[in-house]
Amino acid sequence: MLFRKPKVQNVSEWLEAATRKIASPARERIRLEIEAHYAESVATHLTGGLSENDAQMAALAELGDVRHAARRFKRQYLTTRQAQHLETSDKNSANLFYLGVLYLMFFVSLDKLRSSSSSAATLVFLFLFQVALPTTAFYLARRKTVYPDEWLPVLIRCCNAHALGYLSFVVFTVPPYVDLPNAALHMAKFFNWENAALRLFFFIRLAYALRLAKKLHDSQNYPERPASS
Amino acid sequence: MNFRGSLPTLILQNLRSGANHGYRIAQDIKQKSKGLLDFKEGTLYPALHALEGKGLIKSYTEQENGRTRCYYKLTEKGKTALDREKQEWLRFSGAIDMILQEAS
Repeated sequence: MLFRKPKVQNVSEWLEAATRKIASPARERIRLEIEAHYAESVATHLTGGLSENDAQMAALAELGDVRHAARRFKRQYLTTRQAQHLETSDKNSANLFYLGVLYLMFFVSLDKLRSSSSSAATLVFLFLFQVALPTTAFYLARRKTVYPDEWLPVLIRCCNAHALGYLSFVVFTVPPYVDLPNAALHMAKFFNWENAALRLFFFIRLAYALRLAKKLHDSQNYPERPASS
Repeated sequence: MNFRGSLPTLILQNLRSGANHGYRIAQDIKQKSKGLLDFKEGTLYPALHALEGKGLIKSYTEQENGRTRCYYKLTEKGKTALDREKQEWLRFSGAIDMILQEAS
């Protein structure tokens, strides 16, 4: 059978299977609480007259389907992959050199757009993704504290702003100005397709950032805001 | 029937009478509903943590029998939310009652 139900023999295996993809510290917290829950459940069954083994089996059964639990946890908490994404995003956003490269890209874009009478919307778009967003992300990454109730900073943090900046340069500046050799003119259609695919990829990344921001907004992975004096 | 959407309200109601931990919350809900509402851990803890994320409940830990136990208590914001949820539920269930009685 392709999708076989995982065989879970004890609470450690249940916890391992249910929280495998969850990042710390949520993973540790879930484990701590469910271990206490399980211990209490076993104690209750023992008091009810079950043998040690039966009590453990009953308590394990009460934990429910491990795959269902894993899905629920994954939906609510940051996964290790998402945590890595955020870590990379923070690291890159705080890099002054990367920010400088993006500014340079914007000036290159300006130069190219000026000579091709592109729309003002494209210019605004490029300014947003190559200057405004990376600069704000740089400030936030240096500040090192983003609170869950600050929706916009949370979203910007999730965007991996510098990557979006590079992507916007490639998607909205480079392809229309690449001089295709005559022999490759038949590839133009393919190139257009490629451009469309890149644009789609760009918006998929934005959608991913929104989803991640929503998760972060609802999560416990933030330091507590210091009490205002 | 899917009762999962009602779990946050049931948790808030359970905590109205005082701080409690996850296992006891689940058992209380099960007992009071005569076994009809039996929420598993994969549902209960994400709901508890989501309520905490919204500031409706607050958690703290205590040592019991050498084991760290996480307790939850209702916040003022949680009390307000519970009152609002109860009002909405009563209105909603009243409306469903009226329709079902008419049908029979």
